[in-house]
Amino acid sequence: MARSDTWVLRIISLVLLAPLAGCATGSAPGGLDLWVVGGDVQVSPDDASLTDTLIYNDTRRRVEISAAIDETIALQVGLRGSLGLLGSVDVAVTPLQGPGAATIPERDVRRYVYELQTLSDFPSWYPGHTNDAAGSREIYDRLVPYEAPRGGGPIRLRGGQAHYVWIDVHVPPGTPPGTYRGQVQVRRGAAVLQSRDLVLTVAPVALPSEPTLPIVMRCDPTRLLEDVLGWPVATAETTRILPGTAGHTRAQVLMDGLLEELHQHRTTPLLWASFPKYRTTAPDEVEIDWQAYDALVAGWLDGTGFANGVRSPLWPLPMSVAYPDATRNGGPASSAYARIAGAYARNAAAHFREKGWLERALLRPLPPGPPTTGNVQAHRQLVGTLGETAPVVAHLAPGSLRGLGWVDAADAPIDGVTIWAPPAAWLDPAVIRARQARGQQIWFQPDRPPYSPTLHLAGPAADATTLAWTAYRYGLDGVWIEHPLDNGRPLVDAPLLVPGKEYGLPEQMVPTARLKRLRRGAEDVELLRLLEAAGKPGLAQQTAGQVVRWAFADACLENLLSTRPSGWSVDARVVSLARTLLRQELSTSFAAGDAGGASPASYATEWARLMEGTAGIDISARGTRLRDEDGALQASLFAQIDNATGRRLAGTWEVRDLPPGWSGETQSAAEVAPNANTRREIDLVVDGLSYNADGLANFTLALSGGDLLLETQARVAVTSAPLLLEPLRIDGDLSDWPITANNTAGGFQLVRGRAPEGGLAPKLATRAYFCMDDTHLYVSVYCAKRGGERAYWKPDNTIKLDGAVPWGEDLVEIILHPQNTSAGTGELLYTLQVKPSGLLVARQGALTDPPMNESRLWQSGVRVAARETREAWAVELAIPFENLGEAAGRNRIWGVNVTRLDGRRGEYSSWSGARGYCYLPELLGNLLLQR
Amino acid sequence: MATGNNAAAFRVGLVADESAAARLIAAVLGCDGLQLAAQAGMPRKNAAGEVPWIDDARVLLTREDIDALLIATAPGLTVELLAQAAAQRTPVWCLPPAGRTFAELTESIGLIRAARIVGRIASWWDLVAEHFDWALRRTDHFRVWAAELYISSPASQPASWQADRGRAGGGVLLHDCYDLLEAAIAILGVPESVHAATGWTRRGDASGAAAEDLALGILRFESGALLGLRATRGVPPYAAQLVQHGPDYSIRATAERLAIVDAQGAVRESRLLPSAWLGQELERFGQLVRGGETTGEATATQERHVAMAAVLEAMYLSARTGQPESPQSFYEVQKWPDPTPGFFE
Repeated sequence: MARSDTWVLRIISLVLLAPLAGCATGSAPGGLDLWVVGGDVQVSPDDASLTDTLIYNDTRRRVEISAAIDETIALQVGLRGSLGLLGSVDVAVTPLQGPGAATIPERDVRRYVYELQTLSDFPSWYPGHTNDAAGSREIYDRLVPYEAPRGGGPIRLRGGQAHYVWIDVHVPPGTPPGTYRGQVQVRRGAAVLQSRDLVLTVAPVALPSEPTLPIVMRCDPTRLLEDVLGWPVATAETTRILPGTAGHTRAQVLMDGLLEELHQHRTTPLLWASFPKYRTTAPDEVEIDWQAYDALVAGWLDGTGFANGVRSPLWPLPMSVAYPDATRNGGPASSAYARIAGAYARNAAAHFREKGWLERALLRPLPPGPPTTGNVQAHRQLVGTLGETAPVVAHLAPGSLRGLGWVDAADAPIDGVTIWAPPAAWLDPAVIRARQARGQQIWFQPDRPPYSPTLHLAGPAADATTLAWTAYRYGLDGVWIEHPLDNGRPLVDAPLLVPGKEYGLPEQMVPTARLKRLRRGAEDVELLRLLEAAGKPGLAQQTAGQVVRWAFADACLENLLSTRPSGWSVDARVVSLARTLLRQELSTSFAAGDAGGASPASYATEWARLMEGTAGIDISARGTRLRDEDGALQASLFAQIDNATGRRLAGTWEVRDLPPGWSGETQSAAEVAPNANTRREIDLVVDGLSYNADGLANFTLALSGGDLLLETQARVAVTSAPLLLEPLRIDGDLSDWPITANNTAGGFQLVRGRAPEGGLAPKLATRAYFCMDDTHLYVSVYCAKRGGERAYWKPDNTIKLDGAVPWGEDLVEIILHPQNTSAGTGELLYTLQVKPSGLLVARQGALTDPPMNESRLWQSGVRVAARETREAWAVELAIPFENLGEAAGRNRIWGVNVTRLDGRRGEYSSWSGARGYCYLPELLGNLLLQR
Repeated sequence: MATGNNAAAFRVGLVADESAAARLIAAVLGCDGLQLAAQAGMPRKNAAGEVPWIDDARVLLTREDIDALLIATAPGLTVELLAQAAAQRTPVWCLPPAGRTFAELTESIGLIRAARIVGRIASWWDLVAEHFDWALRRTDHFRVWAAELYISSPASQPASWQADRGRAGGGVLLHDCYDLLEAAIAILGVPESVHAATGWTRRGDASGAAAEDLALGILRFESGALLGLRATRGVPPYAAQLVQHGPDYSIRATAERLAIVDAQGAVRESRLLPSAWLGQELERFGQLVRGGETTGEATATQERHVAMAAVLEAMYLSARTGQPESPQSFYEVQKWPDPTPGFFE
């Protein structure tokens, strides 16, 4: 076809098809969809176009945002090019004009382009926290500055994909309150394709220039300097940046850019590098050369090194166990090291005092590590040596972790620690007030849900924002982030900034959406503190309590790894709504009139939305265990209430629709405190036992009281092991298994998370079978696959643990409890984990990380075989009774469970219906041995 | 100038707004033991003749001829004057509410206690407690099952501080319900939860700056009792009463009278309540000052007002959030010691 004909056809298609494209939501002339969401919202390339969001109304073609002075408001401008409009477009913001001649300076409106990244590794908390399967996908996180030569603007539209431009609008100090107007425009060359009015209301309230909640970023620049400048990798402490030295200029510029970027994001960056050189002049005297160090850090400490002139509120004394190096001086316990470290610390403190920096100094002698005896002892020694020079930071739990079930955690009664900054999971709120009353500070390191919101790349958008809310809610003094930069473990500690080198910005850092949402949370804390100052501390606490119902060890049930669901919502609208209410309260507190206020009637509606969105009551049947009492069958149903409301609850448990032959205590009292949970054992008598082909009998557990009526399905998982006359051949082929009644375990349920439609059925079916002879228990597990998929496993001899879950590849686990108690810990359980390769890991006592009970490798004598077909993979085990303890030969009812991990999708399911945690006797199903 | 006959009279400065000036002046002048030495806060024409009138309440406190300060004005100014009195270690008396919020009140009381001065917040309950006690003990087994508090007051003047939420801290709920609600709280204790709604019948205020003139509330107590509250301004007829219902009879209280009412609604017995309660209040203050009592009864009264502040702020919070709220939470947030059982007795 001739070229001109091709162009004619294109023009015709534009004319004919453009109106059709215009029928799509939000479409406008030019076949370009445009919408705007706030910075809280999680965006993805698959998003549909939107007409109405919290800040954008498509009918009025208007974006409305509010800000305090010195606050940064983020917008995400979404674009989708439909048929006929591909190619590149620019997104720009026109000058924001306000009252009088006031404008928001252009330098305070910054644009970024999202870069598409692939995420394929997910942690085990992901399904439970997000109710989403852990499958590889493309995400938006990295924000490339719009002016970057590579990866920045203009936006190259790809058909059908949603593109986003992130816009930061900062209201600088001194901005007059009032309404500022401009436009968000989409341009191609000089032509404006689309525009939306942008209305910014600046409230007569200013955020403090120095953050009230320190969010420390410990910046180890070694990898950054290696990546960008090719520097050799050394320890952070000895990586020296020498101002004024040729060859170091670019490094200095890079460090300036790094700290400035973090400072602008309301964090407290601490450069962990370039510790000053020293020499020993006597056994307990050192001479330190401060010149280069002072030249490097002085600007940050006096504020001249930051664009806003605000000095860093904290700075580390430049020493640690690696500097002076303890290993070269006899070890942390040696008197030689104590002398030199003490001398160094005194010299450093004196220098800092002289410079006027000492009141902002802190000393972090040891990096985060497990609570082992050695680590605790090292802390004790170092704090004893150094504790008088500056406040000491210890990344240990301020209270005992044994109370949370961590069997080998060393207790840390260490005197002299000023700042406790443990991982969130180690923090028991009960000790916070007691420690703070003694003048100590409690910080935390962001961890995983449900202990704290996460900064992991897989974390929902709301988590990064909610992190600061969590600190406020619990009255904590700060947040410590150990690795904001790439430290070689990007999957574990996803960096919050990356070098700009690959984007053509060799001296800049490129931020992420997670860093910007962390800033958003820090600004929210300032709003909460302003509300306190306005005489409404109760309201501020109430609001924070709605956003974060519980966290830290408040999320724990029986032990550190048996937990409640996360105590905050992954829906960003919750924190957005809470912020809107804060602004309304502040606007009425500080100025009557229309400066951001709304009528009080609308407050009630929005408050109700916030309460309903976060508060709730959840009941669950954790497990039903059978036992043999003098020849009669008894059952114990373990019921739990999780009360996420602020009210005490009282009601009645009811067990309904019991299977035939079941009777007993069908009603019993229930009571639970606000924001707490409680468990109850309900005893039932079993005169007749019947169950379906999946080994399940279902009934209903209900809680009623006042106007409350909640119901949930409960199950008793029970199957039997019929007696065989001939032993089975263990070869992975299940075709020789006898077809008998009632020896099947099916109907597996997800242990964490929910299926998209809200149910608990995993995507892939699993069935287990049992039988026995005089010497062995036989178990087989049939794991259906998706057609064509290979079983997903690694050819090694290990099974990775992620908390309480074996993780990372396909496997099944058989949990046996011959003693058949319903109380006790995982120490009473035998676990057999099998991969599709046939690798078996057998343990006596369930193993978790960290360990919640004693566990040891078990010489089980088990024979195992595995086989894979197109439809499924299967394992077959023969377990000798003689290696299962005395109870195995005596009891005819055992506790048992079978779990399966679908490694690709991260779906961890079990037969008994256990939720969240599987390694407790009360959470098992029941096996009847037909002896 | 009328002065007290008691040779031991001490000199008081009075800060009162226009609405309170007349009755306060009359109460002071009728009080043996108190001598009105200076006054401020009211328009000059409402001031007592021949007593020095100061146009700035803050300046009044700096006068050397003042032994104690009496305050009857907007809570916002009351808080400021309480702090000033504590700083100067001047005994101080005020009408409730002595703060717009729980935080303001507890801070003021904290300053008073730290200064070890007599700081008394007037309490109608202290005057009438023995009469309520009589009513509650008519039978051995009387228990309040349910109570109703009904307040209907004249509308506040639009230009006055009572109509300005910023200066007043609240409207009909905070100010007009105070005395009878204090009596109810004194009898029933701090409620476990409160659920409230507030509104504006007159101005439909959009800015949120006006004090509310309509309030409804439900208070739940640990004993199982419920109290229903209805308060309005500017909706005649005007009345104020607290009715407490028990198994055999009800107790109906107004500002003037206490009545025992039977199941048919007939009044079986009644008592007049003290009418000149302000004068008696001030005399009691005088006794406390002379005796230097900074603890004991003085502290107990302060704690009851703290409890009132917690209840009222919980009601305002509930009206904002639409959810039941717990007064107890304010003690936790402000780290104020919990009310100990029995201090109402």
